[in-house]
Amino acid sequence: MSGVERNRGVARVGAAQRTLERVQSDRSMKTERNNKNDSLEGMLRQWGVRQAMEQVPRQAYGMRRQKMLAMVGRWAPLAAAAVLVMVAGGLFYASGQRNENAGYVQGAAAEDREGHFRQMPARGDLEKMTAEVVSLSEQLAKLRTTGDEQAAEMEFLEGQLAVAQQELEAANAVLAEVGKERDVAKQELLAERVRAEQAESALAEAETAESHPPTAEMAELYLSLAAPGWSGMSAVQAAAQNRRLSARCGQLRQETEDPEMGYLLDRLEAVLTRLAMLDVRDEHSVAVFASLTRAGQLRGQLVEALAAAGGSEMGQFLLEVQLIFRGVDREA
Amino acid sequence: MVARCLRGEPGSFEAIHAAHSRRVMAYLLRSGFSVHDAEDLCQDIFVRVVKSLKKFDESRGALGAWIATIARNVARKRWRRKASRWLDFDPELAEETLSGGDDPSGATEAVETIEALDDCIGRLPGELQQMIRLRYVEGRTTRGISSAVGMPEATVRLHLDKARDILRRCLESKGIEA
Repeated sequence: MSGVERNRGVARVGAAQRTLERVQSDRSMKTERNNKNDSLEGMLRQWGVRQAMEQVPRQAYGMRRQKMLAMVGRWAPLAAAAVLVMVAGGLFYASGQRNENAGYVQGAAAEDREGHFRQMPARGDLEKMTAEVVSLSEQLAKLRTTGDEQAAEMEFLEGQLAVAQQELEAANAVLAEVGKERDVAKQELLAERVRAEQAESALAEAETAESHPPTAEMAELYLSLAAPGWSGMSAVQAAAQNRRLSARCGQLRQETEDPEMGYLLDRLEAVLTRLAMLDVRDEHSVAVFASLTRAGQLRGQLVEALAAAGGSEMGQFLLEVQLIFRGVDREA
Repeated sequence: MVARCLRGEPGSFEAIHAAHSRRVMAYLLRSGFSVHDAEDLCQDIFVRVVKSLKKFDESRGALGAWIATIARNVARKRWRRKASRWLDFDPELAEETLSGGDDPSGATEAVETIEALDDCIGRLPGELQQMIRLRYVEGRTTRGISSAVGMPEATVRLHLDKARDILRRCLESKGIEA
């Protein structure tokens, strides 16, 4: 058996298998079709057709339809154009036939010669124009070169200007900062002046009342000025420290020659030293210290010494000590 | 409409397409073509309709029947290329799509009856409802349903019979003889 015959045999077997499948399927379907007489089967088929038509994918089908309509719309003008071209071709051919005569050729030759003579002056103009164009091109090239140089210079200057502007901005920022600092310093200085003036006025007021013991308000004012931010016994302690009363007492002790004043200053130095070392949070210690300031005629001696000292440095010191003692009296 | 289309009146071809393309698409889908293939074939069919519209003779039949003939011929040519697939779809059911009138609302069964049937089908258990749809909407054979749901053909037949019994009782309960 040749290869060709074998292939034919295989093809026949395949066809026979397909026929068998078809017959089996037909038999199956025939059974189903037997139901067609059944009214339910008829209803189901009607229902199926309606459902199938309703389920046609509207969107895709619409798109295809539009594509097809677009295709028809695209080809219709082309077909019309093709017809027009064919008609035009026929007309052209017909006119070509008519123009095959010698008169037309002669006339055309004469027109050609006339045109040649008309061209001669025009050629001269064309040469002039060409020369002008060349000249203009050269000028343009020069201008471009100059322009490039100027552009480079401009760019350099712009760079310099940008740097200068940056420096100026930085200087302005520093200046603004300095101005702020100056304003703060001014305000602080002003506050100090006010504080000093208040202290001076308080002292002056105290001096005018030499023979009278300082009032509680005077002591409060003194403490607020000498120890701003502090309160209670801490303010008393801080005021004595800030006003350097202990140191000033020692210095005055060295300077004085009066033994009674020297004795008073020794006692005051001891009291101020105790005050500096006092635990202000311990109420008992504060109470003991307060009693110390009142012991042994100290207050009386202080008043007498103050009256004798007047407005001197000693007098100012004694007055401040009196104010401190008044503060102690208030807090103890 | 055909005369208007032949005169090139705008919108006339679109009207023909709108009137018949849905039925042609349903026929192609029930014949076992995929949606994409059916769209391509539908386009081919209506291009042929445009090209050969001059040959249409109104005295020999309705336009819908003439378009159906073109659709049948185009589909059969394509079937030959996809021989393995056509056994899954019942050509008689596909043919019924084309043999109906141009207007689907003019079906022989009363609208009320079909609506009652639709209601009964909606009440079927999911599996039976699916088989009814595969059979009568998609137009599949028992072999086609079998390959679609992965059940033996005998089981498919049993399920279809059961579904028909339920539907018959449902319709009778609505006063419709089935």
